[in-house]
Amino acid sequence: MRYFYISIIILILGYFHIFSPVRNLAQYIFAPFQFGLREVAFHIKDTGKLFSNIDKMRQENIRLIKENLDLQSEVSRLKEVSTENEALRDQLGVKDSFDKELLMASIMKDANDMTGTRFILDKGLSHGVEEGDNVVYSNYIVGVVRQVDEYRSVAEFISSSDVSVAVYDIDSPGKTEGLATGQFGSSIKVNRILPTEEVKIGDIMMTSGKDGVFTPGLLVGKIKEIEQNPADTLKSAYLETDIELNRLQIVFILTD
Amino acid sequence: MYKKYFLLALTVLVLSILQLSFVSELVGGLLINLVFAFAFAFLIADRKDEAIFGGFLGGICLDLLGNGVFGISSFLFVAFLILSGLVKRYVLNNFFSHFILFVSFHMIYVLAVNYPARVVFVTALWGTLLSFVISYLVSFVHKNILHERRFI
Repeated sequence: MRYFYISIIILILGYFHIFSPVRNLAQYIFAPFQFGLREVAFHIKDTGKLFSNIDKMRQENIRLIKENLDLQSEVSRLKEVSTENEALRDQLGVKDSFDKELLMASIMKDANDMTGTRFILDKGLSHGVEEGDNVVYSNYIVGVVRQVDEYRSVAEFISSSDVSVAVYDIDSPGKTEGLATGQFGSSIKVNRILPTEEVKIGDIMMTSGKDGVFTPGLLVGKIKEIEQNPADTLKSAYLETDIELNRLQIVFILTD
Repeated sequence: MYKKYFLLALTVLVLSILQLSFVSELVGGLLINLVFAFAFAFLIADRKDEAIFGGFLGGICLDLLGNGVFGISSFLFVAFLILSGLVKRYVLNNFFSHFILFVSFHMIYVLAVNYPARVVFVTALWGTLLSFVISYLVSFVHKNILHERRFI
């Protein structure tokens, strides 16, 4: 019974964060093992997938080669626009879309999370991470930091049902706005779009920054489905992200 | 005596690191509880003291390397193992009782460590069943191989 009494005492003291320094030290020591093992598991899983999807991948490769050619021509066109844009920015004295520091972090799944929407980052308070910091990859929003310890932090993917992002449609003429909410890790839904608003499948949604949490100008995803219930006057749109959130290994934290 | 407990401590430390990184990445959202499975295996093999020690220390390791309330895993593991030991001794001691005890206790654990986040019941149940299979395999290995060679 002595272990039972000791564990009750530990639980009570732990509730008041008495053991935080010990925990921080343990996490600091074992982080390389944990993140290293996570990477090994990721590669094992990836190799397994490679062998099971070899034919699918061949077809995908052909499609990607074609897509790559199209994109190359698009890139050269955008380069011209970019130069022009830069010149205009200089002239108008406009700052960059976000003047925040990018902090690289390794990512690991939270073992206790059932929905696959919570993840652990190997950067914490000591690296300047704060609660509410945005997690990005390339120009895509990945999630938001929810809990910060000394050497690591816990974040949530934007596909989590506890995360809501104010978004707008960059392709629609009226720049349709909405609130995107995660659907338990499976997709992202933009609710309450007025029937008069024009949204199309394939339109790109970006963060508007009106929620006060997410930095404006980050990509959220493309509309893959529009839903309109006959009984309801409002529309909903489902988004898909170009990046596979669950397969990310490295992300960036936007810190002040 | 000390060597036995040192080996146990080392094993649960390695298991908790594996559980929180390697296994969770490999099996996705399933919570395969290697630490509890290992401790429960000792209980099945009639080694209650080692089971409780393993559960206590394994819980501490999981709490140290995880991110929930510190002490919750060790408290629940020890409480479950003591209660299971009592049921095993005074009520019923067969495969069915082990199964019911393990599944019900582990589901409570999953709910407790995830609170207030949502728990996907089917995923939690699959993880629990796999953990039970691992526990039974470990107890089998322990009874038939390790015990004879007096490894732990």
